[in-house]
Amino acid sequence: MRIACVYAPQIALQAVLRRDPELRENALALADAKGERARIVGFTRAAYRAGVRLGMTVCQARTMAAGQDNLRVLPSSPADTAAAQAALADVGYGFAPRVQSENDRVFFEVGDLRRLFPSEQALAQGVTAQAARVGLAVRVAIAASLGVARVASRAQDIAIVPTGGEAAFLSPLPIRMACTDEDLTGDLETRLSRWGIRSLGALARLPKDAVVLRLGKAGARLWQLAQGCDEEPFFPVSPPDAVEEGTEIDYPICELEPLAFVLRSLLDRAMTRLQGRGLGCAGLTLRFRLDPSGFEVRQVPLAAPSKETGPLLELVRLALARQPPSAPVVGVTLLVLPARVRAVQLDLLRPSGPAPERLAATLARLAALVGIENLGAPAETNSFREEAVALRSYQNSPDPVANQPAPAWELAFRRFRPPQELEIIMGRQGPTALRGKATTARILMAAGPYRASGEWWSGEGFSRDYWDVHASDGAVYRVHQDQQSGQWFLDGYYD
Amino acid sequence: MSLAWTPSRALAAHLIPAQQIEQREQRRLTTGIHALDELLGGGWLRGALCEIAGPRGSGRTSVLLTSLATVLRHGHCAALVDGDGALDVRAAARSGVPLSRLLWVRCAQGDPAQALAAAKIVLGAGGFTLVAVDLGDRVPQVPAASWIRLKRAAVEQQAILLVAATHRIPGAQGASALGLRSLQPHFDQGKDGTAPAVLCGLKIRVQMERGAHGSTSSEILLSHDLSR
Repeated sequence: MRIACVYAPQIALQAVLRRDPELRENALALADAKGERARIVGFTRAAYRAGVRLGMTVCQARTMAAGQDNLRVLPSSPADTAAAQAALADVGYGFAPRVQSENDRVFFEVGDLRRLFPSEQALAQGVTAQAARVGLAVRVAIAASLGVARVASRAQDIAIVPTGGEAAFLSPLPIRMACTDEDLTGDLETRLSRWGIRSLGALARLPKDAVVLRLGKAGARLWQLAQGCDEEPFFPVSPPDAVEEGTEIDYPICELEPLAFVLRSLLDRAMTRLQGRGLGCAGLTLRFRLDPSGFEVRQVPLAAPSKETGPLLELVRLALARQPPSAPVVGVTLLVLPARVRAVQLDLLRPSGPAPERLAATLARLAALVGIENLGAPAETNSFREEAVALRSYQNSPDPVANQPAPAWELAFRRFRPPQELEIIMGRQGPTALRGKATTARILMAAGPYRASGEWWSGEGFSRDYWDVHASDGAVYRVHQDQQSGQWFLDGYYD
Repeated sequence: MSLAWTPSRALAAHLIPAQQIEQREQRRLTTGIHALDELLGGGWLRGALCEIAGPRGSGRTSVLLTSLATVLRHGHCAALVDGDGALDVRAAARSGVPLSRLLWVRCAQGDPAQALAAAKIVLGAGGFTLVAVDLGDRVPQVPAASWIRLKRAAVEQQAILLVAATHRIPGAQGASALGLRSLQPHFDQGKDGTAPAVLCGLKIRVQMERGAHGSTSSEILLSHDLSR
């Protein structure tokens, strides 16, 4: 088994840079909390050149970089870091169905990927490119075991460790690269350094029993790793149901436009992650953290899965315009429901319709324009009300009635929605004149009444007398009188 | 022995190569009403803007729904951009429209700009053979540039853009236009006259107001019969 390890160094810093890419070239330091006493946990190259080092307080970092006018110190954002970790996992899911995730690493089995890529080097380059698309700079290592791949990923940008050559590869590497956080806390590296053991190769040459006797379980694990043998189990898991992107906002946002700006960035990142896995978006959930406290959730349904960000953002804008957050927003989490954009088998004997992906994008654009409740395929409902109508999601699927002749030409009917209130003058034979918003006319001929009633069992029953009336304006209208209220309504006209 | 046959000059003027006939048939789609097809020279022209104009009760919705039903039943995709949300689903089903395959876009009433924007989006998707735009009873003020853009989109996608309104609105941009007018509704009052009357048909007049090859003018009478 060959395992690939994708390592994103300084992931907390990368998470911030992913949110604000324009800071990448600036002198930027990341603190573990707010305030001058917080410790520096990450920095950019420019900040390093200015003298900023790990573990300094914010105050010390500012003093060291006194000559650098533009040193910015930002607190690390848990929401951004979590999103970057999820994005890193998605890079793995773009190449394998199941991956194992750690804080700043993701592992997946190379397996049959060797059939898709000419070499493991090419695969590693592909992974690096995909990570760059989601805004992460990563190192990639491929080895026969989890532990070796983990150590190798810290050594080089792209490291391919041949099977059987693990010990030789690890030999020149410093002990620190193989140490876990626990090892570093327990001074394992310091003790080995006192003995003059600074590389994994030197450690591997020591007798195992002596190392175990002096360094215990941690020493045994390190010695075994230095030999190139690693028995750490590989526990890959399937991807989560939704892709999550979130961010904390420095100041409360009250207006829709700046909020849309933040959402665009989140949506861009989420869609890039989904596209890496060959998926589209089937629905959106927005979770706002409000100032001073509380949360609000908005659901944005879609007519069909889509891969285009523009229409999705338009839908989000419309949803927020209809129902804006009730208080200023200080944090946003975006949940994107992934789905495969439907593939359609082309039919030799049938004209080709719109391409599924373009159709999905078109439906999203139309939904943004007219609202999702006004878009779809019409459907008849099981109701006695003539005006009842339902909308189902539109799909370009073959129909069993295709290529069958249409029935004989039928008189169509146009409906006023909702029915318009009407005044009717009744004569001995029926209505003789009508006056309403749509028309005022004498009635030349009236056919009816036809009584319709129903839904009395649901508490919203109706009882109506319908008439088809030929008005003096030339049209044939359909009107009804509600038997409960006595009010007349204009339903529409035959056309 | 030679089998070659040379037609006379008079006959040759009326002959059309078979290939051209095939191409011409592919460029037109039947309306579903034989009389209308004859009037239009074979049906609606693909890659063009076509119009149906007529006042209330003139039958323009019937022509629209029958065209949609015919196109959908031939396996093509079609969309109805409904400017008034006036579609009666039961009437559409009676006209033979396979409802599950019709993309219905209900626009805000009295906002023709939204209807035209929706039509442009649908045309831009490609693959929709017929995009019907029902502008309802109002006479909207639409800039000529909008029609030019829509016509161009229809030409690019080789789609039929069918606009139904009370008056001819696209004007010179339309490739063909049918003017409709109602003549007389038919009511059946039964033999003894005691039973309630029943509306059983509507007679309308269709006039070719603009043709594909210059203006042609002819009239035809069509009738409905609900009792069928």
